[in-house]
Amino acid sequence: MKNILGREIPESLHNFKPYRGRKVRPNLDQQVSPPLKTGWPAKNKVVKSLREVIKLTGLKDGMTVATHHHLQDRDQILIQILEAIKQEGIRNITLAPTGLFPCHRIIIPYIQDGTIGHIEGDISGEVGRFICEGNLSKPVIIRSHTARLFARFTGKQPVDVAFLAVSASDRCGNSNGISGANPFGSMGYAITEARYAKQVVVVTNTILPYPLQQISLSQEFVDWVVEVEQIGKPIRKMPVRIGMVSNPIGYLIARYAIRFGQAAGFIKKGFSFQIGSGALGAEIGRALLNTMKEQELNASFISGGITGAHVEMLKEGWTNMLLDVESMDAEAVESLLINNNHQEISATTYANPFTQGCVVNELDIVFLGATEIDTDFNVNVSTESNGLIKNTVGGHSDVAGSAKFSVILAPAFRNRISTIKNEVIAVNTPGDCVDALVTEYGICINPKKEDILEKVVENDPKLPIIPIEELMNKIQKLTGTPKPLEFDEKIVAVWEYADGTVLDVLRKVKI
Amino acid sequence: MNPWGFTERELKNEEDLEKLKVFLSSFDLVYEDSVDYTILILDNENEIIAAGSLFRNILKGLAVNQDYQGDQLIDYLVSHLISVAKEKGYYHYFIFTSPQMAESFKYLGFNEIARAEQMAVLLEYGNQNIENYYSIMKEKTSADYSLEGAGIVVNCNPFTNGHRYLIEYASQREKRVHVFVLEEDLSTFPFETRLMLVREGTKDLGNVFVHPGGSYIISSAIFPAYFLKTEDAKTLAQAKLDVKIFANYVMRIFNLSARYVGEEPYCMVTSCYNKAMMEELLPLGKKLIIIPRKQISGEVISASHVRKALRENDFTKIASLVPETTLKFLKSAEAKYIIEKLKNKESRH
Amino acid sequence: MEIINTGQAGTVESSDCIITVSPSENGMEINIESTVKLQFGDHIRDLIIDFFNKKGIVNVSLFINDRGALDYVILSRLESAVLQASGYKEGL
Repeated sequence: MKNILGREIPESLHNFKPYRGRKVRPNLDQQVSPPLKTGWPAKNKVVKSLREVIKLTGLKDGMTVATHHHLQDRDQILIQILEAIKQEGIRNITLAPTGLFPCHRIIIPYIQDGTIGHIEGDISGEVGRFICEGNLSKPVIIRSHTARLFARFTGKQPVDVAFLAVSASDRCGNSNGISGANPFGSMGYAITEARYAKQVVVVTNTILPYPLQQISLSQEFVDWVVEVEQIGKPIRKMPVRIGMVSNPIGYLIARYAIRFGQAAGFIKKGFSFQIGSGALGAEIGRALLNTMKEQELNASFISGGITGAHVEMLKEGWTNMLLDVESMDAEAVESLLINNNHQEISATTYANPFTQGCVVNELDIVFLGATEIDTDFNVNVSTESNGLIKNTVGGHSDVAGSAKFSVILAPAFRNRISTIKNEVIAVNTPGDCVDALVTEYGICINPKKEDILEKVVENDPKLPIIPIEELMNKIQKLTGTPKPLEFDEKIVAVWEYADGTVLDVLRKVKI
Repeated sequence: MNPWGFTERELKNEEDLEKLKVFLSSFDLVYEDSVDYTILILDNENEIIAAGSLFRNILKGLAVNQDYQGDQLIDYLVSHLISVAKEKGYYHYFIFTSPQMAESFKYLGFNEIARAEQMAVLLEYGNQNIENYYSIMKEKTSADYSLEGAGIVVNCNPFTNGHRYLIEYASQREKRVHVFVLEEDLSTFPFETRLMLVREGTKDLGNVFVHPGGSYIISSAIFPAYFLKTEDAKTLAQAKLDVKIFANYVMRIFNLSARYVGEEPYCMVTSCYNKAMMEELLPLGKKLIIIPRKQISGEVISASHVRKALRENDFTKIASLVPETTLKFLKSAEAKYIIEKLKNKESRH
Repeated sequence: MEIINTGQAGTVESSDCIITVSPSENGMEINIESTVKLQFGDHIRDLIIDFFNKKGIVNVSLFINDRGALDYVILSRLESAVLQASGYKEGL
């Protein structure tokens, strides 16, 4: 069966519905209520070890374990959890991480030994490569942040135990990510994981007196509190690199993107924006700050993953608010602690369209990355040109689909592979959520945004606007046309859109 | 000048060296004195953000500060070191690194040869690779490979009755014996001479095949401590790498089931090496056979005794330690400069 | 043109390649490592063979470690390596 993007979704994937379009249409009959719990009479929630808490939760073979990625590449909790699960003799669990980072390559042995039997969550790095080599029997289900929320409150993917690292907790489980010895900032994704899991274990290296000051995750959701020696490596500051343009192509793309955003009328006084992570994210952040200073444009808010660059904008008054679902560096963590205009938001507040309204719906413009984009503007952020998963999808499709204007920034080619292709390896963000592509060789506007095209040409006639097919041909003249990859039958990954429909599947590459 | 505008210079002084040692330690890397060249990349505050060293064709001590890993400095450093090595005439390169760092070099086209878990990894790059190297060597040697044989690695500096005894012992008990002569020229007797003396001295043994060891068997690439004459913890890691390479490539390709070695009660480095061999070979189902050293007048025969006697011009003693073939060579005009060289230096090997 | 010794040009930086050429006794031996081998491996081989044919080079052993270089980068590295390997000194 083909979905409306023309991607083949095999019938063998029963229970999956093909993608129907950008507008999310939840079936309200599907919702499940968060689990009811009996917290009275009060029990002692503090447990000495992970192994002990695993016994108390009754975790068994085949159950689902959720974790969050706020410790990013510094995380040391996941390995401790898996080792404890293994030592308890529990096998074949479904791991549901909100994200995996390069450091999580250490989970591979737990897949090999059968502790982990299945993964439903966001993956990257060597784990992505390992899965793409066909090492799991069932395909990994990759959900955007919104799709994950949807899977939780429709009961599509119930979580048996959520193990949530927190930087500090009190004995009742009131916790946050900004106190304690090893703060990591916003608990955005952790907060929502706590609401729907059957049991919630907070894991920390700092237990503070009750009640904790500044509560991000309330005790009402927490079943157990475990103290461990270490949750992760300390968060680092972004290196200072004044006056250095390390990436001239990135700089050019950023300049084009800002001129384009202005010409299209989305970068103006009081606008709101979000910038995806990655190297081009840093370039656009720098360039945007310069423009804001030069033209005295201040923003109303910045949302998403918050960095030191955004904190600088807040401090200097170039934005009124930071809405932080994930803190990316030490500056962001410190700012979240001391600045009232830097607010932590949960994943639901951030990007749950099945509510009375979420933050991403209020965004004027978002800048996002891509590894590949096709001539229908369908975007691949996960896999590299070799067909192996390299990056997490995060909230790419959620933000692109909700913001008023979504702009993809990418170099025209990387390692002689054109970013624009007739067909991408995997669609993670559908073309009807994407408004434009900016490369160093030109800017392509999605034909569905004809009004924008007219406006841009009128306001900044010198911008290199070019139809996407034409740009692709121009680039491929330079790079050559790549031989398409060949794939086996085996499906290794499935990508779900915000409403749980299937965007695409990935098969194992023939080597 | 690099594309980032960072300061880039060679290691200059003690202060640099101290900084470099601290820098490398966070990547599980140890600075080794045996390097010909070290390049540092420094930030605005003169702190090391990246470094790399070169010893002949071996890249080592390569690391980049985490904050700068997105900048592809490692690609730049590897390219730079390769170009320095190339100027010296090397076209085949090794990287000796920690397991933590090894992955980043695979993306640059280096292939892992062997790994001592949690200690060290050796990778190689270039037109030659270890698999081809020994496969071609095997093809060139007409032996009956269907029967399992045995291997011996020798330095033979020079070839003595002790070496002869070990090889003969193996040749009487095994269907086929392959002798690999260490190729690296860090010994008093040049490689070509050592190889020739082993060949001459074993000519009468029909099932013995003598080969050059190549750059993969106890060479300074894999086993610098052996040549550095140090006896620290590094030695074991290096010894394990070397043994793994011998077992996984040489023994597999040549269909060898046993390795014969002479007992080494005195030399710390060599006895450490034999210990590593024991630990690595047995789990692979390969035998390690340690033969007591041949003695004469209550003293083991050792190449170092031959060298000592050469320094003292004691040819009577030498005649009792080496076979006729070696003695003939040592008395020849060709050997004169080697003996001169020997008299001018004191060294274990 | 004849390959009489070893020549090497290039880097392992992104969008570049290193090419090593050396003498051979059995015609052309071409060994390709590439980050885009699946997509461009055959193309790179054809490019190199074509270059050797044009130069009249028959016996050569070549190793390319490609990091996604464009054709004209590969060709210039190839030319440089071949010039060194054919004993050409001037201007290098």
